Amino acid sequence: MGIENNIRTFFNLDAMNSFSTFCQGESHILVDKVCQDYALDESKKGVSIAIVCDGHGGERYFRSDVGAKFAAEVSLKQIKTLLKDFGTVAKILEASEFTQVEALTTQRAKGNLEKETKVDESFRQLFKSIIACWHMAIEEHAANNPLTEQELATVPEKYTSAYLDNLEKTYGCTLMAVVASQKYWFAFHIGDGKCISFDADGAWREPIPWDDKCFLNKTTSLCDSDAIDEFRYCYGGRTSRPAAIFLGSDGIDDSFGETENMVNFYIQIAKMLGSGKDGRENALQSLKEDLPKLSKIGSKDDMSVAALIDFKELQNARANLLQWQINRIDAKLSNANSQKDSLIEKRDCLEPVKDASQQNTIEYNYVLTDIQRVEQSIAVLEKQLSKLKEELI
Amino acid sequence: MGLLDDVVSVPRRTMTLFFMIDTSGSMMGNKIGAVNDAVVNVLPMLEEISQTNPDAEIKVAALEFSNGCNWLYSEPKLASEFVWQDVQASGLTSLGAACEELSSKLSRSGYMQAASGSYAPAIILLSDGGPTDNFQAGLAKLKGNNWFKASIKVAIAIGEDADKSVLEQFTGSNEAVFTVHNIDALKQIIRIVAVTSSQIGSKSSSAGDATKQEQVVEEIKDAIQDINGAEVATSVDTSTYDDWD
Repeated sequence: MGIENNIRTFFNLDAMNSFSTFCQGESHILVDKVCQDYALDESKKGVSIAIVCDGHGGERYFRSDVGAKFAAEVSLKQIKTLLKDFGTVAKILEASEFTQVEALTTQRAKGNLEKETKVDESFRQLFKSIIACWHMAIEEHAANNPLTEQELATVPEKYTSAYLDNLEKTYGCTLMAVVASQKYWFAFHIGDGKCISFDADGAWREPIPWDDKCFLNKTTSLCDSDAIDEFRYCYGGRTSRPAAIFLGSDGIDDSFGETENMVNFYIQIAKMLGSGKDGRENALQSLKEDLPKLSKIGSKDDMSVAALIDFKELQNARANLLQWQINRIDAKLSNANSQKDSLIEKRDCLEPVKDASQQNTIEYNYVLTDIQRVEQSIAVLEKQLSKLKEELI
Repeated sequence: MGLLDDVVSVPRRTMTLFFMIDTSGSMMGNKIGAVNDAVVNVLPMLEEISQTNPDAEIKVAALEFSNGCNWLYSEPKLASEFVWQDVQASGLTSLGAACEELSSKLSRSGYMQAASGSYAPAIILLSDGGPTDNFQAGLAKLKGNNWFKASIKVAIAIGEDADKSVLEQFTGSNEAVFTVHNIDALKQIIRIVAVTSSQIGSKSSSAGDATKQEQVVEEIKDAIQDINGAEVATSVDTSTYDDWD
């Protein structure tokens, strides 16, 4: 096993692969609004990087599509600059266990400010340089691109008249990135959207701490005055490096509601990725075809997915990922059957007798509807279970 | 195997509309009758909005408050399935207790689902008097609730005796408090507020930067211009007198 690992490292076989894709959301298509998401990825010389940015949707953020693209591009550049001179910090990361760091704004709110380490200093420097370069990029863009006739016609005057004083708002967006080398990995995030990782044993988690300031349609942002303190991140050495890490904009998680539904979706992608030599192309093609459909039946928002993948580990994890899906449906079925039993019990107690109260009759009818609903749900779950079990064979 | 085949669930997004209804003794008679009548009539409209809205389905929950407070059902019901049971008026005005109760249900362990996939709720408060309990304590709890902070909040002051300053504190803005002075205006404004809040609250918000609260208030203001006996609570025109006979 040791020799195999050495050979993998020597030939860059231990490097992760990457992909990214994004598409215009259904609600944007309907009103002819540009896609404000942007995603990119790069895998070179044993280092893989994936980035997702989501431009804000409100009227005052009328160039957020450009802001998202710049945020992704300057982040890629600044990450690569950091890695060139990462010496001591890289060594610390290599030896690190999996570590999560909450946003400084969160730490302060909890009265739990952690002591800054050398790694924290290094990441803080990276975030500073990303924010600074993003500001330079949007300033240059604004200087070279005066307000268009269309912007003047469609954006409220209160935003266009003062846009030069509030450039960062005009271009406001979120940013999420993951970086993996053969010896360490790290990920960071400001804003909403979700990052989900899968370990080689198929276990999943949200590696980057969540920020409670991101709630419903409110999000932290690169355009905030205290953006530097709103970055949260995680890192670790090779032993904690996941088999796959997915980044998705909020259009993805808003489509699924409960996080487990989204994890299930990513497992479908992961299984496709781990299915053989054409796995990456097949998965990417499916995403390109299915993300617009998902936007249509889900959140209606723009959609982005970017990921880093270790194909070999993902292949090994495939059986466990499938088993997780089966266990999840099994648990849901068991829950639905218990629910049905208790509803039947309730129905029998409520069965209207002569002169039953209006309240009794209403409750009885609700129980009948709920029984029908849970029976439909059981039928769907049984179908899903049977389909998943077919994959086992 | 596709990514969106039978094993992937994409649930419909949800918006919950809360009615908070004052059922204290002063509401007895025509006022409570009009509330019952108006809500029964608006439910089919909410059902239609829910069915024709590709963005989200609408659920309804109702909390009545007098000596204490009481939910009409132990969970929000789909607008299409909500059976209104006429509420009766008697007793005091425990608005503080109602605020606390609402706060407890505006949570994952209460009536709300995951924030991802949910729209902020809409809350409509109807009252004709002032609270008789510790309103400030209840409101303070509610104001710390993230779902409440994000919600659309509109209050209907039923008659001149309604404590508008309390309703303003609840909605966070004097612009979101509307006063009605007669039965017909009360019925009409319940319909307008419920329909407008549901229409705007259950839609994706890429349309503009105005908050949904602002959009709702603006639309209600426009809609009530033609209603005799309804006005924005801040209106300087006090020539309209109550007529509840």
